[in-house]
Amino acid sequence: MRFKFEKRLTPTLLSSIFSTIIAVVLAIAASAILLWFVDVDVYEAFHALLIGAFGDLENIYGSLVKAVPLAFAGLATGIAFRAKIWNIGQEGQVFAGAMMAYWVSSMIALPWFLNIAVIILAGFIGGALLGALSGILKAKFKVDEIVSTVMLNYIIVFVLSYLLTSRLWMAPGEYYIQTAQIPEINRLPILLAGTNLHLGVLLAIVAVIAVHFVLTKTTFGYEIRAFGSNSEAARFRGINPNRMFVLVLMISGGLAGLGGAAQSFGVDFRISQNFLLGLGSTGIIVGVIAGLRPLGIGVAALLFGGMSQGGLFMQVMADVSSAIVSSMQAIILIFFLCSSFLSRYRFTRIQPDD
Amino acid sequence: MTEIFQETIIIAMLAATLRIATPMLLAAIGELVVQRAGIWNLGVEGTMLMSAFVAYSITVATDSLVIGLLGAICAGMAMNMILALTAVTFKVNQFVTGLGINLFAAGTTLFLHRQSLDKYSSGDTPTISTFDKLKIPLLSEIPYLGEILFSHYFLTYFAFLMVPFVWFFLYRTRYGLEIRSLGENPLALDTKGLSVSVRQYCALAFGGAMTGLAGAFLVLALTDRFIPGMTGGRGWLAVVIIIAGNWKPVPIVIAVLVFAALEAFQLQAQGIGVQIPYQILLALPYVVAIVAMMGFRMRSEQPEQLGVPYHRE
Repeated sequence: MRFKFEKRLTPTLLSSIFSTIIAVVLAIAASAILLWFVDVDVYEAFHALLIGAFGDLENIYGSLVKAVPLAFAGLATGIAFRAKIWNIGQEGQVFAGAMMAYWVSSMIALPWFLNIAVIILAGFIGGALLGALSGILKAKFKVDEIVSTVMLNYIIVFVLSYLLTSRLWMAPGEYYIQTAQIPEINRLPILLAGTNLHLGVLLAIVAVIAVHFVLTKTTFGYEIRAFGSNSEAARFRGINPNRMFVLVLMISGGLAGLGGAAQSFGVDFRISQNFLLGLGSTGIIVGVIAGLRPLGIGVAALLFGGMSQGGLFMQVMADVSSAIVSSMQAIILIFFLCSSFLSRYRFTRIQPDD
Repeated sequence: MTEIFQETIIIAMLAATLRIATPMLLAAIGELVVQRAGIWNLGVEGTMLMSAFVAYSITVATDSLVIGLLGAICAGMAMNMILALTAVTFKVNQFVTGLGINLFAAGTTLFLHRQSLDKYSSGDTPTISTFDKLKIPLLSEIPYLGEILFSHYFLTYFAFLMVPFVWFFLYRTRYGLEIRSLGENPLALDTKGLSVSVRQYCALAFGGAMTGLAGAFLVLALTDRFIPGMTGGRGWLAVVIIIAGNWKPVPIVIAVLVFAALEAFQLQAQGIGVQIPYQILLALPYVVAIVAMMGFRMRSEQPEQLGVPYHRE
């Protein structure tokens, strides 16, 4: 009996989910080896990770809150990558959103619900401006969006660093390099008294559904998918590529910006170079392993948010550095890329010729 | 400010420029070959970081700088082999893989570093005695120039010597031509019966070794211990340098020197009382890269098939 390795015509939803599960299992195995290598009790560590992530209601709330910026950055990835526009500037766009929201919030004094609405909008605009800049550079000057988004990741953090060290944004007498605390009135309201579930959780859920709706049910969503599957053919159907570059990068950046604003105004209440670090990159992993499907991104964000939340618990309970979590997440991505390749193929039994 | 003081600072700044340039140049020259072979490796930062960590760990364990250096080369090559497997063999998205490599290196080295801290009662990892500087006899005696050009670590000389070597390889040898055609027209190579993936694996191995050396230089020469995230964007700068240098060896060296000089100046700026926010100097390379790409639209040397996986059908 022999088997043939045969290419599937279209990767199915099932095979996509399957490769994600395979990737997660393999990544858990790989991180177990890493933990074992440094003499950590592997069972104890993973047990603490799981309990810390989803063990009781409080931990689940924590995971939900941690999932918020990842969901936004994941959606930013999903919408851009679907159009085969390689926005890898989520990291910078998260910062830009938080910074714009902070800047606007320091100037306004409206009734509180208006205040919050304006701050959230500013978060979107901050990220959208940075994304649109990459879009314009691509449309007008043919600057590769991969290059410009990566460059802007660094440039925007230097801008923040300048705003802080020049003391424009630092409270007088502040020792740490961070902004002054965001006043109570500007913080995202808590949804459920006694918990830390803030408005951002609701916004993220709405965003997941909205992006799903836009991608599957609207003309614009159709244009994104058509542009992604064949930009030449899309052009002949009247889709203007330059408009797509600017618009998609703007929306993608805006979504990432919302993530930054939600994190800063819902959790950190300050902005520094460290607080938002890594959210955008992790969001890219979330988007990719979810197969760029919005609903999947919601689930993947919750999984990764749970890992971050559980990592903190594991650090305290099992004395294992929570850095293992970001290592695990990257390993999941790498295994996912491998298994998604393999899931494009299938084994079929063939009869021997002789 | 006295003249002698100024003189010392300027000489120190120029010598520092070459020192700072070393890891960037090593990585950029390695990455140039990779990109010429049509692979857009965004994992340079992670490869460098992992190599630095391996160089440090092995040096601490064996007490030998040379073994540490060799370990870093192997680590660099191993990291690039992840990219080779996914990008060349599996043909998945190269940018995402590169990003994955960066995140993997950042997370894993931070984790292993923190775990190893427990072993030391001082609360910090031990330092290592770094490489000695290699003063070139006679030449290092030349006033001014001797100190600026000829009193460096051997990896600095090596990095600059690799430039003509790689130039010669790329433009004057058959294998170099083959590598360059991978980035422009891999089909032409394939139809001649020459394997595309073998050459891309080789290019990635070379790039990994060079980036490994860059990582080793950070711990074995510039500082004396591993610090999480110590590459601090140098790997990305190597990518920036290739863009700003328009994928050609000589302009790449110029870009390296300019960016290194900016950093050296930034380190001294406060000392000599220059009132420029240092962030502007640090951000400048990234801005330059974008502006350079805006100007290149007509005469770009960017390989045509850069980042496009080669499919036979």
